[in-house]
Amino acid sequence: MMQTSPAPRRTLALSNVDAGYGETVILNKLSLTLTEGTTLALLGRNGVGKTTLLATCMGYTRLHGGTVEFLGRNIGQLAINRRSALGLALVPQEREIFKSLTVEENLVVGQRPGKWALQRVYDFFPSLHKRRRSRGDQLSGGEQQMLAVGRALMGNPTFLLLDEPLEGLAPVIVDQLLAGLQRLKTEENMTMLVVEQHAQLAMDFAETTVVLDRGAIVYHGPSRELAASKEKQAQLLGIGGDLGH
Amino acid sequence: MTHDASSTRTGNAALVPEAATATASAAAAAREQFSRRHRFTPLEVLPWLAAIGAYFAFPDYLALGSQILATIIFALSVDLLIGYTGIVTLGHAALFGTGAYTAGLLAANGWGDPVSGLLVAALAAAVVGLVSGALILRTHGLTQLMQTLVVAALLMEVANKAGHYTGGGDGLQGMIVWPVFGLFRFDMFGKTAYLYSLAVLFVCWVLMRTIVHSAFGRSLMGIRENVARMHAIGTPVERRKLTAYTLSAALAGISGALIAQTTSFVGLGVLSLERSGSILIMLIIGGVGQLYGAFIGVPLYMIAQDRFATIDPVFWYFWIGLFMVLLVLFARGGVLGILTRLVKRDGGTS
Repeated sequence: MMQTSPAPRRTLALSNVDAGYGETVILNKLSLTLTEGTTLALLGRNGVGKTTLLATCMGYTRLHGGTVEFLGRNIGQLAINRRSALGLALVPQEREIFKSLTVEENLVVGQRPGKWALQRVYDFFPSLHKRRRSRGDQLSGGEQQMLAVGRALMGNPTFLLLDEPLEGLAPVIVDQLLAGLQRLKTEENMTMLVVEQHAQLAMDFAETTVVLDRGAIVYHGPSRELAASKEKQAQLLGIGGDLGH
Repeated sequence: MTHDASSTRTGNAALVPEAATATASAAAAAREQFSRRHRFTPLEVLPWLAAIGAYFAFPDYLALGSQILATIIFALSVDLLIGYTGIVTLGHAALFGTGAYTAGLLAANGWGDPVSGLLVAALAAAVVGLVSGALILRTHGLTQLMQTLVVAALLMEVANKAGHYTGGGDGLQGMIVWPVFGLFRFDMFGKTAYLYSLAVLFVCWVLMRTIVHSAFGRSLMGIRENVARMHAIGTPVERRKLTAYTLSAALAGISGALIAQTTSFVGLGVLSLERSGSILIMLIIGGVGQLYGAFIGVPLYMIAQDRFATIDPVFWYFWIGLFMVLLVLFARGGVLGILTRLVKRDGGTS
């Protein structure tokens, strides 16, 4: 008898979301669904609401309307730490490493039981193992970024939100980090939503791309289609010629 | 319109055996980290050698010595809040005073056993800390600071009004503290009081050291540095803060009880703003959030206070103030900060 693989589960689902900071609404009637194992690149000009979308998923913003569901549960009014316990993890743009803690302490401070433990994170990012006794404020930008991803993984999430993970990193570090993220995608089947300014790298990494403009989705489709059309990129992202790296 | 980013990959395969192995290795790694963080260093013996040396070197100052030792516990409790968790308080005397009055009332009403008195005082202070902390920690910034002040002021007024039990402004009289373990009577030279205070301080220091080096302690440091990030990595921040507040209250209660038992007196001053403020000054002098700042700041402040008050009984507080100004201007991180920088500089040049 032939076995069929189960249909991928719906993980994160935003439906008609209006959200922002205080009374200011930044996301307008935004709907987006991701299924298990998906990687999605979120692109757009500065100030169009990319970070706000990630913040809304985590619960940092005020939800003015619509629903946010995670694994079938409405999490719109759920506290941030409860969302994290459900399996959502955010790697913030500023990295926000705890400066007075060592690399190892940064990793274990948010550890939750599961398959992700210190050794596994060190396997993914060997340079963190070398620097495990160093304090957070003694790390380079690349090491901090790896630590931010590693710390998120120690919470054993099923869904990673990454806010500009490649920002300000040297090309060699970008390659190392992307290799780690690629392994997460292929070996761990991790669902990921990546906000990134390096449009080309993001589209190479994620199979699906969403472009935001003024808080609304203006493009949603396969990354390769957008990557193949310079004209569309210029129109949607406002950049012509060489895009990022 | 709903946008679907569908996947072609299948879900996670069965990971049960892998997860079990991972959990076991995680537990082993956690044990290894715990033992590494808790490893004692030779320098940590210094305060205890100094305390034992002072017992023999200054037999006429044992009363002051036992006050210093008890106050170090109070400073440790404040350090757990301010230095490690980032909760600023100006009313920690409320918890110190609760401990002092609890031990005092027990001893004045027929239960003079010092050790059980300490434990009951710690429990009473912890309960007051838990209840008041649940209210105080709901607020932030200046409001929170005011709340800490208000709790201390309220308790002080309660102690004042309940003069029938507490002695009010005259202080609690008639405490009879029994010998420690029924063997060691509190003598007029203060020897038993000193050694008893030293033993209690040692136990409290071990407890405090264990707390700050544990994963819980590290999460408190995370809260101090970045509350939003701790929320995001799934830490129940409010619960952790309340736990820290309650633990800190218990330590403050022990300190208050110890002073009450060793001096056989409790006055309204144990709940005063001055006590809350002076412990902050002592901690700043020693170094905040460094565990051993209390061991430096408290003796320095109290010995300086004793000496200045003898030399210049009118203006002694001026000299303390001047010392503080100089310290804030030229020695950020307190005395411990200066020592750390010197050690690093020597290490760097050698």
